[in-house]
Amino acid sequence: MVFAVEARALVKVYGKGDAGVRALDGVSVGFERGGFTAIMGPSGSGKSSLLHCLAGLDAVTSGQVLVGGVDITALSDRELTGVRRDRIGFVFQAFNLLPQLTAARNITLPLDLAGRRADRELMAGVVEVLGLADRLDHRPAELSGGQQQRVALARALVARPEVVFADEPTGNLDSRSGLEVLRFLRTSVRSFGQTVVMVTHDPEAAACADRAVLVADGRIVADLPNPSADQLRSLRPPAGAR
Amino acid sequence: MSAAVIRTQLSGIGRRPGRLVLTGLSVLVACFLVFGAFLARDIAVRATADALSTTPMATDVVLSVRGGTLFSAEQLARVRATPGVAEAVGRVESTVRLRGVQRSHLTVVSDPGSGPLSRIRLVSGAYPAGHGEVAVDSRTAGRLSVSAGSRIALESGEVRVTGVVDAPADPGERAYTPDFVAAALGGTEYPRIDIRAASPVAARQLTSGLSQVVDPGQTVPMSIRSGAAARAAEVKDAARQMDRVFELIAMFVVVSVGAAALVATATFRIVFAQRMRQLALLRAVGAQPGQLVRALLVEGAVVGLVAGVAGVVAAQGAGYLAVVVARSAGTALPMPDVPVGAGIGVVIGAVLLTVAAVTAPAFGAAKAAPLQAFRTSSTLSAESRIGAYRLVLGLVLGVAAVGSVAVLVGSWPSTEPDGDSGLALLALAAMATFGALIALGPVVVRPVLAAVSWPLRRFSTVGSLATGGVGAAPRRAAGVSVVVALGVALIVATIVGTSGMTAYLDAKLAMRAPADLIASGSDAGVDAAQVAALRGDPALVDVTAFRTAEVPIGSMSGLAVDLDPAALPVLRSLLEAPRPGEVVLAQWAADSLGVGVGSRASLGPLSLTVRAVLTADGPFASAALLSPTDLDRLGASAPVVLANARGSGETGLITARDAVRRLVPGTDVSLLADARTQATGQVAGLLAVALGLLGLTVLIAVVGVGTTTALSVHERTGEIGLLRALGLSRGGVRTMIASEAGLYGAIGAALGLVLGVPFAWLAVSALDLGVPLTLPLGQLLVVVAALVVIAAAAGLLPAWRAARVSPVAALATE
Ligand SMILES: Nc1ncnc2c1ncn2[C@@H]1O[C@H](COP(=O)(O)OP(=O)(O)OP(=O)(O)O)[C@@H](O)[C@H]1O
Ligand SMILES: [Mg+2]
Repeated sequence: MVFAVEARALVKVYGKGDAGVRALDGVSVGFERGGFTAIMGPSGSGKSSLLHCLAGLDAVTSGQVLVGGVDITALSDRELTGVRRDRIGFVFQAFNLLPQLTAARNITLPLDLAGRRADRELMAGVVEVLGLADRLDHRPAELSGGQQQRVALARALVARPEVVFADEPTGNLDSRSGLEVLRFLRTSVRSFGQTVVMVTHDPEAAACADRAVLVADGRIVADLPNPSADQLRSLRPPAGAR
Repeated sequence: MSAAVIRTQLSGIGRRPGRLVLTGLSVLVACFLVFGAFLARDIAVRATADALSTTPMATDVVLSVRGGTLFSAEQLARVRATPGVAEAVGRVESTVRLRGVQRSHLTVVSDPGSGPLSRIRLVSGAYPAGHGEVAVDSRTAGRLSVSAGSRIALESGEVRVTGVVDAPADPGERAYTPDFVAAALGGTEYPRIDIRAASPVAARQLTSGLSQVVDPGQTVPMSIRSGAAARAAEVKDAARQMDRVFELIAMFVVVSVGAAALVATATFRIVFAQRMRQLALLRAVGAQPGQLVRALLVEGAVVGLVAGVAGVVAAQGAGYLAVVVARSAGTALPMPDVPVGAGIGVVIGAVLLTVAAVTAPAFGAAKAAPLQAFRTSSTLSAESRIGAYRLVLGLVLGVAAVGSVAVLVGSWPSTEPDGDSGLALLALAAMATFGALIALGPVVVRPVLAAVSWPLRRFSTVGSLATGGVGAAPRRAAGVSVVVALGVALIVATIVGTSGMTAYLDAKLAMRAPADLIASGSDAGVDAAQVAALRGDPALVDVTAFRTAEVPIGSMSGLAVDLDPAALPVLRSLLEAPRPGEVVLAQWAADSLGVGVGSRASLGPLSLTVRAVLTADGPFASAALLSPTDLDRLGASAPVVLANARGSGETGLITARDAVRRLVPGTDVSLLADARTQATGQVAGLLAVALGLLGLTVLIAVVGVGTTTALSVHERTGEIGLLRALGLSRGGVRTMIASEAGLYGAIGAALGLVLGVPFAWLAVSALDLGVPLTLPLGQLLVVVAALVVIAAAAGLLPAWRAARVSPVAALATE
């Protein structure tokens, strides 16, 4: 089976020697094309580290990351930048948009950087579904947090990336806005065949996904297809355990 | 509490030394310039005193006359015979006229020729020993085409050249010979006697006893000084001349110090804005605004102190280094002193300047509402609106500027206001304009940015990102661009002014010296056959003959010439040849005849149509330029020939002159080229010096661009990380940040250009010299382009740092 993204024996160590922190300790996991995966785990377990390594944002200590079958750990910074620009989309918890650009320019930024034109139909469809049609000329400072996050989502999708990574995309939102964002992520998987990998702390959010991967101490400890919120809640360690 | 606030701020400096460097950098550079100028003056004064000193080091006693009476040969002999005197020489410089060559003369300088009291060194031949003999320096030998053995014809006879010497680089044509020969040639005696004593003791005794020997009757008022005192007086004299130069330099340095204060203010504003959350938090937990202001002022003082000390120490080091480099390059310069008092003064000045610069940003920052602790800093400098107070101030200054210009222009064209008051008014207007620009900067920057960034935005995404980055913080852009504008406006005004001046001087010189040389021929002038021969000579070009005649101009009389302007390149563009029946008049001639272009003027027997009126005199100070046919009717003089040298430089001239002498025997030949090269050289030299000094202001402005860009990079780590995550390459980040720096330069250059050109024109008009208003577009574009490139280069270091920002930085949540 060809994965959109795959990690093989991934190790990530921050720092050197005794002071080094082993954030990822031999992670092997694949993400199918058109799948919506949630990554869960206690704070400090290595979720963000995994995401950064998978997305080519940070260098790995050892192991491989394959995006569309290509090992990106072997690429130069220049090539890696190209991969991020053309094949990967991002949604972050905060600071998603450039303050000086309008919403529309923010959405097309990766395409502008690549010197590509946006697919008009796709752009119109995405903007329509996200309810951003009348907000395109606004700057981020004039948008609500939920709207900003939806602009970031639109940006991640119009470039038609291989995979969209989202690190706690609902972390800064109220539950209603968060739900909207999740619903849209779902829609993008269903109707555009988009691959999505999302880190979240929220079992409700994770329950929207097709699959939940649980991380603890830099290792994958569980992999659940079609998880339910209750199932996930029961797996979560009691608060303050870590 | 106050102490606690200060402690938090100062510990902030300690943890972020980079910021200290950035905020203090402009002050540091300013201190470097001020103290450097001080040291340079000191070195220059001592060096010129050494170079120009007419008193050799070996001189122990200097006798000089006061008033008209000179020392006689007999008195000199008595001095020589005095016990304790090892050597005594009479010092005299006399000027003798050379025969034939118009207005040229030879300066005959007395010198013993050898020994410690001599200032020259024999190169070839022998040093003169008797009457009628001289040695010349090598430059003079070339000028007069003489060597050991040849003769120089004087109006009063002839001298024989016995040798060629190396002499101090003095101007003019000079000959050296023993004192009695020099005195005899000039028909004069000695204003001064230099004495070398047999021993230091003898020197002291001589100082007190000599006047009795020289002048027992005490009829000649004289002064007796030690050689050291004479040299000290020369140093003082050199210093006085230097000070005139350094007063000018000081003016430019003051402008740069002002620019440094502006840059420091802008930088502190940015730094405080970045710390707004921290300051707001202090307010939230109960710090009073006054306490914050005090803490920030103390911080400014610390920055000023550190920057001042660093600048002074760096200048001192650079002074030593410069002297060492100059010495290894063969220029003897004295080592700089260590003027502690001046250094301390500069440091105190730095502290005061920095505290003044930090005041406005400190009050602004102290107003931080506690709520701002919960806002992001990037939204603060994005404000392009300015307070009502600032707006009113800017508008008032703008109105004042426009008003003073209107008053100035309204007073034209009156003959009565002297240029000075006009210029003073203009200086006020310029300052008011600049003040208005500072006040209204944030409002002005956006439209200017939109205009100058058009090509960037149009053609590249990175370019529009850079434009967005600059536009997102208009206050910041205004802070630094205004300083760039100051430097550019000054440079542009200088260039425009000089180009007008050059055009004016060129025209004037073209009239005074239309060709390299002029030959009058024998009594019958230069005949047609000789002119033809000259035309055929390979050393000469543009050979043309002309004649002159006296004409009555109203009640006065003036010179008329039939020179063909088309024959000489420098006149071709300035004058058109009058056809028969036409005349070109000098301004004064037209005025006194009461005629203008197109009207008829009567010159003696002639009645002519005025073809043109010149702004000044005609060629060779003539009043009228006529056609040859008309000049015939006035009784023309014998023809005279003008010609240019084909070869360049001194050799070309000498060859050309010799050719004329050969082909037109017995003629006088004058080199007109001398006057021209001298005058144009002066203008070019002045422009170079002025631009060099204005470079100081630009240097400060560039420091401002660099620091602003660096702070902006620091503040936008998240944004840069996001761009990297979204696929902007490292090179793209570098280009973006360097472009932002270049845009600061471009905004400043555009503003400077728009302000500098009109002010230069106004200044040129206010001087009312008839200097034309020119627009040297080429040079101005070079200045603008150079500035944009330099500004972009100043952004390279921050750009390089920005490129190292990891894309992960975008994900870091505060
Ligand atoms: N830049 C870094 N330098 C050093 N250690 C780091 C760095 N980033 C993360 N770590 C460490 O690596 C481990 C995993 O961190 P990571 O950010 O991946 O956790 P996480 O699962 O995303 O936690 P959270 O749910 O709190 O976001 C932690 O122990 C953390 O301290
Ligand atoms: Mg995390």
